[in-house]
Amino acid sequence: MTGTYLPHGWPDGLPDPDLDDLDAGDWWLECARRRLCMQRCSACGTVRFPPRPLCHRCLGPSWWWQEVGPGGEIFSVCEPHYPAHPSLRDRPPYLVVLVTPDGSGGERLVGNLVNGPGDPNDPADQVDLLGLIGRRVNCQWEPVADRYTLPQWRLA
Amino acid sequence: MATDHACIVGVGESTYYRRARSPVSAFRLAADAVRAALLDAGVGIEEVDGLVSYIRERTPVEVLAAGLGVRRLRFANSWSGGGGGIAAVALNAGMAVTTGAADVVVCYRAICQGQQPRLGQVRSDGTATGTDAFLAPFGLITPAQRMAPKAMRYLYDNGLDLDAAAPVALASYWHAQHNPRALMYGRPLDLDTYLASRWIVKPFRLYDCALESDAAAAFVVVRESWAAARGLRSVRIVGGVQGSDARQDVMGSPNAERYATAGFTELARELYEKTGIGPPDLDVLQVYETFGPMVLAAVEELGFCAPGTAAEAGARGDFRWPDGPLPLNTSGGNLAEAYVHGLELVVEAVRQLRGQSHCQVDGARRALVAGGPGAHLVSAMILEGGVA
Repeated sequence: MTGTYLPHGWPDGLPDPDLDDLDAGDWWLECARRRLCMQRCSACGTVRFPPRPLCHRCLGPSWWWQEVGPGGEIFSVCEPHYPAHPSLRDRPPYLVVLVTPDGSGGERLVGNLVNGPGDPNDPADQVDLLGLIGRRVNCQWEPVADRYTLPQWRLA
Repeated sequence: MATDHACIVGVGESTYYRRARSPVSAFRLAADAVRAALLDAGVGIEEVDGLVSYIRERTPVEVLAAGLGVRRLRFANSWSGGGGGIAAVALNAGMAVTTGAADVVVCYRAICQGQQPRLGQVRSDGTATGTDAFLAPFGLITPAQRMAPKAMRYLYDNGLDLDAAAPVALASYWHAQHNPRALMYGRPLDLDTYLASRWIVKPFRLYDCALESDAAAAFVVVRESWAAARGLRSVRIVGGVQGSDARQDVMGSPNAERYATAGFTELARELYEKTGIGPPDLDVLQVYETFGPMVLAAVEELGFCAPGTAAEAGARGDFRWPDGPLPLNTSGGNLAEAYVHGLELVVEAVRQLRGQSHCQVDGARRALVAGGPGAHLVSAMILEGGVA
């Protein structure tokens, strides 16, 4: 895929995610390899996201990357209209989804739905947002320049 | 010996302005609000030995203390969250005075979105860290955006449509028409205008979102014995609760254990057990209304409506003074009075219990104040008038 769902490097001046974060940096490396992962506790098996140094259930410090998805289900959705940044002023609304990837034990990721039912770039009242909840999606990788790669979602 | 409760003896506010209209600084507005509250209480600035505000207050407690010439600050505290703390600041001040850490604690908040970064705009400084790193790259940045999927899921779970929260905004505007202090005084809102208003982020329309303001409010907390010794009138802080459900680390935490809630399910139970007071004993509600659907969830979790029925209650007119049984945000609140990060709702609750509201609920004796429905940190408290 060429281009990104939100304006390239969007929004201009918005901070990049902290790729060097000692708890989360490796997650971005896995994304660069196009592996959609969540941490799985070595002690109790709980899957967790976002990356944390300890298991919130048993406080175990050991974990491994469990691959999740690439399929999943939309848990919730919203559609920002108001341009929260000047670079969005002439842009149509966009869709943000919470997705429960398969095999995640219910843990959710935030992403964008890059193809709506109908085009979200059309006059936005056309999208039945409540009707998207529960729909199946598949992960689609979206590199942002050469800095990092985002897991995005398409309707299955 | 009877418990020496904490109480509120004075309330006040600065002049309220629309965003970017204040001719004076946020510092000045904070000072104006504190002085107004002290004047209302009949307490001198020289007696103040504690200050409490929220995190990210631009005029933090030590700065305001120095500016107001406080001789000795014995209690300096910032609630860790934002507008979820409208009750928590009072509870923290109350803990300070009842333990003797301080005698006179002023809670205040000044928020000037014309002078400071707007909450609805991207701040582009540094790197997105922690949980933010997994929200911001997808355009989930502002409080409204982060709360929106939670509200959407609440609507979905309860079979409601995107306009279900209209009665919350309509009630606030209705009440504001009686309150000359309200920025929306003289600007009534009807359902057609609400429905024709633009989307900020679905499911929130313009009128579901707090009114950006330049404004400050304050109130004074002391022990009841201290108030009684000076003959001050007081409103009792009967009890309260604060905190968060599991895994709520930022606003809109996608992996909160209870996702589509206002955050009061457990807290409400604790509040009512602790105080021995229940929803039927409460005469007026002040529920932080940013953003509409989460107010519906809060009203349900706090026990005033069965799950999923607050929208219907609102549509019947239940939230409107003087005829509705659940008068809600009777000054106009965040949506139509001024957005003082919710502190104006505490001021209004106290006025109700003193018989001084512009939408006075007959015989109002007890008020419920709840902060930040849906935020990661929330709080609630019960205030009672005429007991000391």
